[in-house]
Amino acid sequence: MNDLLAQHVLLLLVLIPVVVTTALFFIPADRHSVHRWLSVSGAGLTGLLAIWLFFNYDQVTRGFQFMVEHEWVPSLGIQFKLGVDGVSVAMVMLTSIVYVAGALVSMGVKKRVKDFYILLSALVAGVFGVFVSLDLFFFYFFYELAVVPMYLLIGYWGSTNREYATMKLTLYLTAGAFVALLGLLLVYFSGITETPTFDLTKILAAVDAGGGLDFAQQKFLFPLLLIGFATIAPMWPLHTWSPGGHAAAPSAASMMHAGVLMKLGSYAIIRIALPILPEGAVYWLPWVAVLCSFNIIYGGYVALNQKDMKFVIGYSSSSHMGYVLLGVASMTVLGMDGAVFLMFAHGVMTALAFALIGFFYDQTHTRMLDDLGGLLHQVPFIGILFVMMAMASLGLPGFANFASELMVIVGSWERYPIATILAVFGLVIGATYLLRTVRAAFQGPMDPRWENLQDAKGPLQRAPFLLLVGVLMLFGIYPLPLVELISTGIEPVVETLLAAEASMGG
Amino acid sequence: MSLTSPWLILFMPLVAAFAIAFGLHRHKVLASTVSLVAVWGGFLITCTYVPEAFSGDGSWAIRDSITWLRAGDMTFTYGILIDGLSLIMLLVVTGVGGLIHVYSLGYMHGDPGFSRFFASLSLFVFSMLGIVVAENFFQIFIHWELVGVSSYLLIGYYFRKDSAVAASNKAFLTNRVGDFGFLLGILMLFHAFGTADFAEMAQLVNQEGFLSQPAMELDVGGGHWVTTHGTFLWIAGALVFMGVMGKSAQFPLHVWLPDAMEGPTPVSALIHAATMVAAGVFLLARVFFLYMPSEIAMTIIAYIGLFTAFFAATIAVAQYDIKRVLAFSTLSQLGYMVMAIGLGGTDVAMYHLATHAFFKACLFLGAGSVIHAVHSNDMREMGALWRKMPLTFWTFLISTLALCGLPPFSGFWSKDGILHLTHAADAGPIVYWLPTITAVLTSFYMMRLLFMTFLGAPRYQGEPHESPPTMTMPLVVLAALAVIAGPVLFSQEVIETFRTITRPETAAPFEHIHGDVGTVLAAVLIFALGAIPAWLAFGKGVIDPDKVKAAMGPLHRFLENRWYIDEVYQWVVDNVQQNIARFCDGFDRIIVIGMLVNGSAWTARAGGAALARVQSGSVRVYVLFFLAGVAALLALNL
Repeated sequence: MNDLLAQHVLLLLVLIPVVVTTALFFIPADRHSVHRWLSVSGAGLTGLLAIWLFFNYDQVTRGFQFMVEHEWVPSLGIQFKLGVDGVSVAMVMLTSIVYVAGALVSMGVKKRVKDFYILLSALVAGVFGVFVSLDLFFFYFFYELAVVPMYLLIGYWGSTNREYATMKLTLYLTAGAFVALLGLLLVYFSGITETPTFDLTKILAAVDAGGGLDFAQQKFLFPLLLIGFATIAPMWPLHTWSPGGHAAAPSAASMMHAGVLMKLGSYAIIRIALPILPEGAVYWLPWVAVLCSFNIIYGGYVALNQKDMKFVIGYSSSSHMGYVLLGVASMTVLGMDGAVFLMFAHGVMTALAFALIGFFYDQTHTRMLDDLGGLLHQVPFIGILFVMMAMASLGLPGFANFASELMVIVGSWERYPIATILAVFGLVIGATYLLRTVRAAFQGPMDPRWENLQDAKGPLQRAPFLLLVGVLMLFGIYPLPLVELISTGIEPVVETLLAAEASMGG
Repeated sequence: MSLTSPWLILFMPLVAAFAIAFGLHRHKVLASTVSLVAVWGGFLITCTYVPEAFSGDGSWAIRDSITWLRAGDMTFTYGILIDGLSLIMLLVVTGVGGLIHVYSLGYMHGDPGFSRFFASLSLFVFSMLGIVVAENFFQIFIHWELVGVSSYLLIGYYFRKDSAVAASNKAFLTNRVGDFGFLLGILMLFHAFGTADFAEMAQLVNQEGFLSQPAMELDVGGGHWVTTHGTFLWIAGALVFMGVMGKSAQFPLHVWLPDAMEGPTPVSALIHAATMVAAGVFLLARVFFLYMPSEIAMTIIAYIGLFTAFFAATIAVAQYDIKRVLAFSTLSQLGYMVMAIGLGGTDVAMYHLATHAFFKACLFLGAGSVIHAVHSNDMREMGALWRKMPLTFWTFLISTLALCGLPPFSGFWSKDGILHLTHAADAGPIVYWLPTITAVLTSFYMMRLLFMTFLGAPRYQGEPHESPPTMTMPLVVLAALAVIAGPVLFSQEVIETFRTITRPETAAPFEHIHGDVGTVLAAVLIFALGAIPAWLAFGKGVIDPDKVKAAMGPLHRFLENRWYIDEVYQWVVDNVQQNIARFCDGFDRIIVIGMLVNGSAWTARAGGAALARVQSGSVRVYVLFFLAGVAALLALNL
């Protein structure tokens, strides 16, 4: 049984959402509860597979495991190749957690339920595909598969300024992806491998064997990949699609978007850009660190001046991605582990934030801080969870965000002391805008307008929130197992980078 | 794990907090019982260690540790370190904390958030105990932050009251500023020492030649900088001290503590008098090895403490809110403790911490009892309460005398130890005289408080009566401790026992207070210099306080408005911070979005137009496009 599962687990992971999508097509549009439960069950299954992966990934052997390989277009060097290492397993876990929570909170979606779930599952299929692909062609294919449903989800089910937001988001992500594609194609044709191939493992093997590109080429290619992927991350000044996109998107889409889609960028940098172009990375990463510290402070201050709660969280996400990339730039195991761990923690935390905001927005139809106030009294469950979310986000110990940010900060201190000082200062700003948000929306005297607000009641309504906060606390209190898993994927990357640095003479 | 496992002391309150939050909150009696059992259980377990600790030579310690995080070659542990220093702190936190739990049963009776209150209290106790038993810097930082959040929850307990929410925010953010320095200090030390473990760090500092080794090399702006461990130590030490200034409310990060009185009174007693604010002093004692070798760091600490002690005492003189007088008095006494450490007296600072915990907790709880009775915080609406609430009055009197340092009460022993240090320090007239002058001020404002509240003419509304036994019993116990703690704690055996294993070998031993005639007379004189004017003005009524106030003019307003420091900070927040935020936001809207993004708007429009053609409005059509693409891929494969 276990062996059988080991052979097919990754294929299943991608196929389950695809099957859900297909099945939904054939279910009559008015059978809403069937749509809902089908999607939730699909999500739950991927969750079980993710847990299985977590416990069965062999940390001693390391490397890519549970490989699935099929020839596709041999003449072009394209193959359908799946495999996971520690980093991908962490991301798969993140995706399935957010998927389950997203499917559950979408129980409240009223219009065109069937189409909504079709798109949501298609998006998830794409995201899983990105995280488990070892072929650059399919990597790109899955990436686009994830972006396009987002466009439709916002365009149809969205709110505030949705046409503008969805257009901007799609164009940014497509443009970013295009730049990255350009870089990938240049890598493909560069002659690292004897015959051009999209097979990541073959390219990496060639680089490891000393067949990497020369420094001048790497110096040119790395920014292409970096800019392409950093647009999704998102990195200043390519970030503006993100807060507006969050604000416009319906809850589950915001959750997938901020929780998972944004992580594709930093994931791609770690998975592709760093190991293929280590010397380019060593050359450019200090600049990334500078940009990161700027991003952290700038995003924080912009968040401090927002009036719409989703914009606060949106800019705060942009600020937090600064920590992720700072960790990546640190070139230490600790810092990069922290970066991946933070991707995980931040994904869960923002998913929680958007789920909570969506919950009361459905009733208040406003997210403006000036309109809200004192909600904690009326909706204590949502209020307490929101306070916990804010505490997680501002880096309170006990939540995974603290552990991961601490790792980033400790890991990057030696190489970038000044950027790290700014990053630590970012924690002060973070506390300022989050407490301000909590105070404006949930504390103080209550506006009588909100007297009829309903709290989340019953296990089903509460489940998604409790799941997310539970995950944050579980890995916040005892991060060791997850961090050790991530380390297995990060250590080879750091070794490659340090070897490149040594060969460049410091 | 034996039954007396030190882990139990730490984790019982956490379990209690979770149990209340996830289920027991509906049953008020059960919720409060669980909370009480957790804290008193910790006290009992701690007591079982006492005989063992006494039989040792001062090197007694319990250690245990687990790996919390490991990445690359870095390992972070989470553990238990109980030595003499932690033991005394454990006794104070669980003992005084336990009494305050009992008191809360009465004080919070009938409050709709009763269970939430006890859950937060238990969370606080867990957080605080974590600081006490922490074995390394990261662990102490974790609990430092947790203490911050518990305090935030408890100050903002009345969350519908805007002033309470504002106070909780202020407390959290002020502490965050301090923690900014604290975390940077920890980072520097961790990288320089290669460990964050207190005992290992202390050993390294004691090593011959360690301080002159290079700690860090930095290339900035073409210059090559090499820093020795010695220089590194005082910079990092000063940064760590920022954390202390936040938590122990030292100037200039003191502003949150008086506002924190917005929380329920038991919270003020527990957190903002007896335990949490003492965390900074405890930390200084724990890592004294960092400061000991550096004269600069010691001087900074001593002067910050000295100034806070004096500055807060001057403010306390001109306040009318009974809890605020006590809050400023706390600031002032914490200043004494910090100053004592700056002068090398970690032991005496810890003793003052312990005695202060007893009598200040008693004072706050007494004030709570009074507020409970007259429904006002304003001393101008009290007076002549001693007949109405005798138990509260007598315990309050004893604690006041202890705080004023009158022999033979416990405050005399510890405060005189500190004054003795300042007189022996040979650091100029300011260090010699200012602490003594502050002691006179202390007697004045405390006696003023006592006279205004309990004596003189009645100015209260309604019929005040004595509080229920759950509230008065803790008062009696604390007052008894305030009387006997002095001679007990200051016996030579106890002094030898309550010593930390991280104490530098070269640290000066604590000079025993003999309580000779000269010292006693001096203490009585200091008391009289403050108490007599207070009696003349507020007891006997010979001097009219209003006339004095008018004669002082702007000086009184300056003191009443707390030296206008809050106003300055508010100005900075409103103008500097908000303007930076507005600027960044405007920049984002105008430059980044306006010019960069919409500058390429034609791309968007062109793209939009192209996409519009294929937009039929049916989602299923779009998905079909996908399937067509997939089919094409499949076709390629065939």
